[in-house]
Amino acid sequence: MLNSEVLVSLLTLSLLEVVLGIDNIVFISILSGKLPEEKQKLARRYGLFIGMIVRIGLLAAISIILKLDKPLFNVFDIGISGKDIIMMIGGLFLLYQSTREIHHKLEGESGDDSRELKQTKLMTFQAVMVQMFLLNIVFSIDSVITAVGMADHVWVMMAAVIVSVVVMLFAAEPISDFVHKHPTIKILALSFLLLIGVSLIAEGLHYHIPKGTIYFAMAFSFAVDIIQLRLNKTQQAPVNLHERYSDKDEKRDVDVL
Amino acid sequence: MNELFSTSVLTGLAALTFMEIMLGIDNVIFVSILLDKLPDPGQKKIASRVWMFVGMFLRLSLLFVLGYLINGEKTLFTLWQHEVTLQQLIMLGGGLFLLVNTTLEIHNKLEGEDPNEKGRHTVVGSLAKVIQKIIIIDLVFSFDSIIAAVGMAEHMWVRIVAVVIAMLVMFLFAARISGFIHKHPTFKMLALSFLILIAFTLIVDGIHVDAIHIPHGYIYFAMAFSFGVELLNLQWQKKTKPVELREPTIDNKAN
Repeated sequence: MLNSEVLVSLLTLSLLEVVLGIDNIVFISILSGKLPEEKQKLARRYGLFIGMIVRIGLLAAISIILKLDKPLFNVFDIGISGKDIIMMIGGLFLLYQSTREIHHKLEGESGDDSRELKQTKLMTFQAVMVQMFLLNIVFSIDSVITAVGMADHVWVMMAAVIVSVVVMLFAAEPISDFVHKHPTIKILALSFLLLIGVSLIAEGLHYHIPKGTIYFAMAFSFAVDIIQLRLNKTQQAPVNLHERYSDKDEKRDVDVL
Repeated sequence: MNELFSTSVLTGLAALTFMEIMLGIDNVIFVSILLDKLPDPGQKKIASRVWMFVGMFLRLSLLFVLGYLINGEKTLFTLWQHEVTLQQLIMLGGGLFLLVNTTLEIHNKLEGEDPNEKGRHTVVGSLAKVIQKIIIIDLVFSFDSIIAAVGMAEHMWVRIVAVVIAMLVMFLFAARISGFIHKHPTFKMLALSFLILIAFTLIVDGIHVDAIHIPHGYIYFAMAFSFGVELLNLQWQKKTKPVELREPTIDNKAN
């Protein structure tokens, strides 16, 4: 059960979940900022925890659908089952989502999704928790589909979700700083999301793309980027991506003016 | 003949041409900045002719050489009971090269120095020196575009036609294309993302040459789908000032 391929898949999937989960953290911290200071830390922890529960719940639901491998109908001599339909829709969703995200990061408006939230003043603890629950559902859909696309076993998917939440619990701050300073990591993660989308669509049509090679390509590409970071110290600050949720917006806006 | 002009071949041709333009435009802009440093318009004309001719010649000969090598099914050596062919080695090597190059390219576009600064300060001497420089730059840049062509298209003629069309379009409309990408950097970034996918398929083909061959249709479909989503984005999303990628631009040379 615990061979090296499973370990590698757990590792790469956790890494991807962490990088993709940064937006979620920023959102949680903005939302918990609507509470009195002494409750903020608690709310952030709850927020992460709710996120984990929602993802594991979704994974459990999906794993039931993935067992439906009896063909429902035939397309071009391929028997299409419930599992295949979910795979294909999931793949299309990932393609759509990562294209949209790349667009937003390059041409969108910084912090447009958190603007409304910024204007609201204090909220009650319950209201914050309800909001966190609702938005975590939205956030977790692509992370859950990514997990399905990358791992073969449901327990690996769930373990990766738990690992990424634990990592976030201890290192949310340094990780989000690192990703903010090195936008390449984020764009690379989105590029690989496109690849996973394609692999899911192919799998839905009963064409198996070897997952080991996906892990290899991801690890290789991240390694190249890290080496590049080490070797090349540029003087210029990196490009500022336009994030959907942003804390630091106001300061940046002032800078522009 | 029917098979040659099927929709899948034509989509492949369109997709590959589009990719070649997205990948090659930086090179064209960079060279045209160099060309503008030549004081005499007559010399400029000569240099750009030489550039066009040499660029085509380089790319086509690289395509033929790679195409010829890839056809070889001869086993070179045996590794862990797998017969390794020259074709596999080239696919794997090309895929890895493309993966490294694309990762570095994304990195430089987001975190690198602004190339316009550097370009402005290079001093260019005689016509011969400029031409020499252009050829070297062209040689370096042509590698990944040729590997992408091999990864994306099955037929040799599709690769050739796509490369030639892309070069002609770039020579003719360099300024306009570069202006468009500058306004919509998402296209460039999507092209780089798909280059990672193409590198990946080359690696898969290289490792499991007989067992697995990822059909090009999946790549074309994903590209078309993502392109469609991006067109909708452009329609629906509010227009804001885009991120400035670190790439050579024509406007800057006036400064």
